[in-house]
Amino acid sequence: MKTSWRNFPVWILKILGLCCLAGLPLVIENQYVLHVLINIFLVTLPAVGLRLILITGNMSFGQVAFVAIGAYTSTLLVVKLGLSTWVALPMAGFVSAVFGAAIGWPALRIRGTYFAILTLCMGQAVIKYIENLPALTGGSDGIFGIPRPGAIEILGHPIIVFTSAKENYYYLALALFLFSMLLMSRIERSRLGRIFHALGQHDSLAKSVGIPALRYKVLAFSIGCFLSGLGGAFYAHYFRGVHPENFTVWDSIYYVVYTIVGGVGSIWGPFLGASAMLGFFEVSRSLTKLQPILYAVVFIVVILFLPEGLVSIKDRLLHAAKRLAPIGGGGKNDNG
Amino acid sequence: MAEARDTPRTEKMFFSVDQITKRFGGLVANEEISFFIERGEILGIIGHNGAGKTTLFNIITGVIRPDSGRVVLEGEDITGKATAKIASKGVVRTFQASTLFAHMSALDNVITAHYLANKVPFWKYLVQTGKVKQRETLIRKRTEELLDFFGLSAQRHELASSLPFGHQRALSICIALAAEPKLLLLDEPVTGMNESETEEMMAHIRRIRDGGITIAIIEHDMRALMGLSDRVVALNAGRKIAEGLPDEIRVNEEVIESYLGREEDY
Repeated sequence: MKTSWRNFPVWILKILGLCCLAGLPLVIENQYVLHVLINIFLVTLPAVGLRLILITGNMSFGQVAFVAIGAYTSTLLVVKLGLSTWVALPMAGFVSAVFGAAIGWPALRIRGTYFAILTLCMGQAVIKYIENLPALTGGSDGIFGIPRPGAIEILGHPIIVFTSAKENYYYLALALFLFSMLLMSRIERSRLGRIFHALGQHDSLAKSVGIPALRYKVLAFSIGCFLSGLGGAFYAHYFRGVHPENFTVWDSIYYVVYTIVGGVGSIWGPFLGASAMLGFFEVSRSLTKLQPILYAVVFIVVILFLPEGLVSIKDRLLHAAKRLAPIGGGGKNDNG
Repeated sequence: MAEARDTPRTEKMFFSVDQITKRFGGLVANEEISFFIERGEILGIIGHNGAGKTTLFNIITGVIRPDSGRVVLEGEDITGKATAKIASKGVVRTFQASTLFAHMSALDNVITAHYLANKVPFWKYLVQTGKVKQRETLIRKRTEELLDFFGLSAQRHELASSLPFGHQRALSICIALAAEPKLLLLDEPVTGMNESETEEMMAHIRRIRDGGITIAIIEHDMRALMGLSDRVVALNAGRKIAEGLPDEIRVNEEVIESYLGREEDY
């Protein structure tokens, strides 16, 4: 039922899209454009995690804390312990996830606005704490000069070498992004996804049929923090340094903006939102001082006219097409 | 029946609440309420608004903790345990009004509610081991049967929020049944329904009981409740004022005074 021929065009589209994303560095020589694209993937990771948290009915304004925890963890593992980037990267994700679970376990007992405010404060507290641990984190000096990731070898031949050129970082960012999408689609199609959606839609009903709500909210929060941590670790290796000022409350807020603008209705929402907003940011670069205002205007316009985000455009078009189509077009779609 | 009433604390007792008291500030919602439910019966709980009926359900299902008293299921004290834990032990309730997973299809609502039937560590959901998959197939089949039983098959792909009221009610009972309860608590299952819908729902409730599930019902619709219940407990202002067969309750003076007599005011 799931993999029927009806999905065939969707698969073609997905493969085409993937080829386009993979082929971009071959066409785009401009390093700056590549940097923007890498940046989009980079901010998409925490936003994808945030979407999962939103689904379970919680808003977090503190995700930057877990980005920072991931960035610092990966940095310290590489710089102080001499571990390979390829070991440090996933470990950074796990450390963020553990922090997420440890903070989420008590914090997710409160809900709604209270939880959102709590995450806002918690996010700032974590960054301040990092800044006040100079022995470990370099304090307000940060840590710089992280070695580049080791080459990826096949049978002893280095095939992907990380240099100052951005292509290979692009592929690494793309790989992390695709991993997050794969994880999300896996979750959405499984009972786990149903449980998360159920918690967001009516958590006391979910409890009444035996779902331990708190446990699964913590799990969703922790997975969200895992992706934030991965994003943070990539950030550290891409810029080859971490500094407390790189992690501000604005980052947390932008993750929220990307997710809402893109829409939580689909796993692709955060990516769409981040692409649209960062794309808009680049296009409007000449209007430096007006940019924050324009950003806010775009955000408000989307909330007013597309409350379910950019991902809902597809449904709206289909809906409009159905209404305009001659009689008989409507009935067919209902038999799915 | 009278003998059973005198010995409500035997080990063989299926379910009992014992001296439950709950105050909200100065308001006494439940005051030393005790009753028992026998396996396989339908117990009706009557009382007008504010009599403490829903508070009682909330206490039984662990949503709120009583100030004192015990809730005992099959000899085990379940007082104040987490709602999910109590559900896993077999006590599941429905809610007043239409409480559903609004943005899911009817089918997905019931599949999701089958949590206890496929409860594994979370990563097993992701790697979809053979056993998990097998159980999901079984759940899917059971869900279709449940929807069919309540006449919801044709609407199974519709969003729960877009279903008509009667169907939403039926769906909310499907959801509760998905947790495979031993004791099903129904909070006003026919309130707001017309006569034919009420008849239909009553027939469903009887068939659920015949399937081996014990039922307790809170209901305003006196006629439906009296017709359905094997025994009735009457509450007034947080206290139990009577308990007995429907015919006994109907002629109980205190009940007539506090409840039935008032009905003419409506």
